[in-house]
Amino acid sequence: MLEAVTTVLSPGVLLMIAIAAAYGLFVGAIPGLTATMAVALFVPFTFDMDPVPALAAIVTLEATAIFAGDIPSTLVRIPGTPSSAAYTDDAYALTSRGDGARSLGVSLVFSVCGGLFGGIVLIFAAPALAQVASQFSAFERFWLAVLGLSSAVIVAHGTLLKGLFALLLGLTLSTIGLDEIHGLERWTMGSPDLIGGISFIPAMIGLFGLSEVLRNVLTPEAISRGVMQDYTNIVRDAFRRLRARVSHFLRSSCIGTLIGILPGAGADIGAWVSFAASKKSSKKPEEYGKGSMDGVGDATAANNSALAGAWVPALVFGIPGDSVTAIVIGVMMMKNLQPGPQIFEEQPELIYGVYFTFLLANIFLLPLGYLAIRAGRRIVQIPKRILLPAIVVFSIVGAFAINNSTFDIGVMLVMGVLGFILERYGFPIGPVVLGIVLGPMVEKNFMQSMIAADGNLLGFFARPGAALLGVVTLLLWGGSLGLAIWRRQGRSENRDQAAP
Amino acid sequence: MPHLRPTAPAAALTVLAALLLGGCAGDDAATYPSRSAFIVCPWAAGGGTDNVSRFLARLLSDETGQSFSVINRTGGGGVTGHEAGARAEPDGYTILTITVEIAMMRHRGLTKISYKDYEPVMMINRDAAALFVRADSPWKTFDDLRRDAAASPGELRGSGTALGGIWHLGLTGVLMAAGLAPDAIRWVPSEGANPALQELVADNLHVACCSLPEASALLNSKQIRCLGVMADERVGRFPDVPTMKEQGVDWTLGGWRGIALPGGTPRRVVERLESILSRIVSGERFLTYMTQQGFDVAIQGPEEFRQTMAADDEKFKRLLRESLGSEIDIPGPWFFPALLLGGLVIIGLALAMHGVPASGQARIAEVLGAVVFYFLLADSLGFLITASAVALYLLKRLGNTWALSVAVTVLVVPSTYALFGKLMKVPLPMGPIPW
Repeated sequence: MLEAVTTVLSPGVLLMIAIAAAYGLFVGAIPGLTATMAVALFVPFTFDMDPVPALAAIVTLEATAIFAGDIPSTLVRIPGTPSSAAYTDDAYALTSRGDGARSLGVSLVFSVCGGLFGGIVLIFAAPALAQVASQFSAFERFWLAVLGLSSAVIVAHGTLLKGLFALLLGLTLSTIGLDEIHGLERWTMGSPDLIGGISFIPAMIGLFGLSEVLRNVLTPEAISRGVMQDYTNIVRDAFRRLRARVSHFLRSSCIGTLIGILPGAGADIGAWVSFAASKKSSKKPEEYGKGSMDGVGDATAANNSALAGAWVPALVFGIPGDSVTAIVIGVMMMKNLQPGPQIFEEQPELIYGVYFTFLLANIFLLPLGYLAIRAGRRIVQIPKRILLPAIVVFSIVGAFAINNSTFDIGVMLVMGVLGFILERYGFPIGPVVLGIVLGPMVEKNFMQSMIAADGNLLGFFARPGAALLGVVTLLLWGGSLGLAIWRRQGRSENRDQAAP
Repeated sequence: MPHLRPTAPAAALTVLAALLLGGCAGDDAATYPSRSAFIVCPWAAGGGTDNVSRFLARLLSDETGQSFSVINRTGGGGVTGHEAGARAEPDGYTILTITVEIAMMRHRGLTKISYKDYEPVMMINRDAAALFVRADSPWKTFDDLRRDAAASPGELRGSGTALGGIWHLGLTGVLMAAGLAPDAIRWVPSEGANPALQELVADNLHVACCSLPEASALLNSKQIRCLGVMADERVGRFPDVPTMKEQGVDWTLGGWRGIALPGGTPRRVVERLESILSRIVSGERFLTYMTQQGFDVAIQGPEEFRQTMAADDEKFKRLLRESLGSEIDIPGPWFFPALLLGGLVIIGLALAMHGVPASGQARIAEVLGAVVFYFLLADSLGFLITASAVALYLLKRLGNTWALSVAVTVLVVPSTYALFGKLMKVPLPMGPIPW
């Protein structure tokens, strides 16, 4: 352990972590560039590096990129990474009120602490948690995906029905392209571009970013100067807020860490579920979706704490929980390190080095993230008649960058118009994005489960983990529907009494 | 001959064009590569193919002094990237990391392109398929598994990739070579080897079929056992794993990766790239890297690579017929979309019913929408259901109470049906209600 700490604290490794942190912040803040892409681009540089600095750099990159995704999300309503989508509307609403900088301060502090929490859990409980993760089959993954989707509908502002409609729309969009279970095309109308399906990054940029531009240009009076943001004491205020909300923070971080450990689920689902839990337990649930600083803090703590969790099954079993850890396994094998239980005995200093980096990366994130927030200061002060065209250009480039495909610019455009229309009629955008992201996970795991259960729907409750998740999901729905009906009843009774 | 004398600008253009063309041609042939180039990878960042592509890009950059960068063109089970690679400018500056799927997707009707649309340059690696079971399972050899699969066909489940994917064909092929039905072990489609291995460990699957390097972590930690590899001889890094041939089943199958250029690339450019790659793949760095990653190096030159692709094209065509011929008893590909669309229609209707009184324009849209609704669904739901929905919806939307709307619907729709359908013998769609 001590040896691991001294290795990580050597000047070379520290320099590597600092560079990786700056790179991660940059990539995360640019919509269309993802943490996965940043890590993949970084791999060729690891060829000539020692394992500890190489893995430390990847850990740092990931942690800083997930936070940095909040910056464009808050300032211009384009989530930098999908993990920010859960609370984009809240953060952006805060900016239009002049509280954007304060919201970013909360994002930073809660991200850092959430990341530290995840790292500490990793240090103390990785092998035990890995046992839990290894029991996760298609049944459990199916229920987890449904739970994630349910959260999106339940937290969405607007009515339950509108949220559900938006979700179904997103899920339907996710069925475009090649159905990899049956190996058949759906909705493609013979277009080779559509075989690849709707890529969610361009869709997200269109739905959130371009639709906002469209709305702004429609009302000329809105094209004025941006709202001034108050930058004083944002970090200290955020820490004060954290102290007042310790129990909420712990709940969010636990949700994030647990979901992160499960293979196939990650920071994005963690943020959604935590945001929903936050709304359910809040005294001011009506603020959620319209600018709730509490919601932003809880969700952002969850998505950063989920990162460490994803490394658990990767290190212990060599089964990657997400695309970044898949790359990590490749890097480790290149260094002649075989992931698996034996690595904890053979190379403990390496494993503890990785754990320690999780703590260190988050400590580095605090000052660097603050600088990044300050750097974004100018953006909101730019007059909208200059900012909006720049956002359009960024949306185009961001949509193109993820897959180097011109077709994706078209996807972004169509989704922008769709988002504009939906918002005009009071439909939330978040559930559409989550539907596109989670649709394949729901469908594939459903089909696999059906085969495993021989078409018997009771099979979905036959395994203990699946039964637990299934019952929680059903209760969540039952509760929400019951509440909605009860409220309606209450309203109509009031009306009846008032009538005579 | 005044009419033959070219005008000055045209002459300038001709000279310029000749210079450019000549310059380019000379450039391509002799000094390739003279500018930066791209490697198209048809699979996602972080996967095995991406891994190999990025490593080759690095070595190509070092070797030539030009920049080679990787572009991931993913989606459609490899179709998107392979099509991009085939349709790129055939000048040698867009290179494709071609994978075994090129020999399969054409036979699944996903694309028209085949190996004939490329200039193969070099096969880089080939990983044989292998069968895995949990370490605590009763099967010690392939024969144990074969006996149980023969005793109760369809009882056991295997996975490793999508339906009709490379490892699915591996399992189908080995079963058939062992004298069993192609679906004696049922295939559960999955996104790839990792999710399948996770299912295997979580005790939700009996057999996984994938390559040895993909399973090496679990194999080394003795959580799973390998029942045999579908190769001609044992694989270097896994000397304890027997081949299928040793166990009396004459069957081999492997997934490969290689480098190809778009069809029509000048011969000399292909040769240049081949000679650069030959130097790279015989170098220490390449071999060390591939061994560490667990990838089996398998080098084939252009002609041999073309023959391999042609042979696999034939082999997979036959195998795909066998593997996809058997029905799988799960809801079809349109089950989910239909469910979702149904939900959208129901919620859409519910929302409209709850909505604020519509403006004039919106009412026009609703009336038109109601007709479109009938047009789309009458054939499957029948006149009674569809027309009732249309009538009820419009009645309610035009401001009538629920009671009145229902009453009018019940009165009007069946009587219309009686009048047109029964009396006038108009063939209105029946739907599920037998009246």
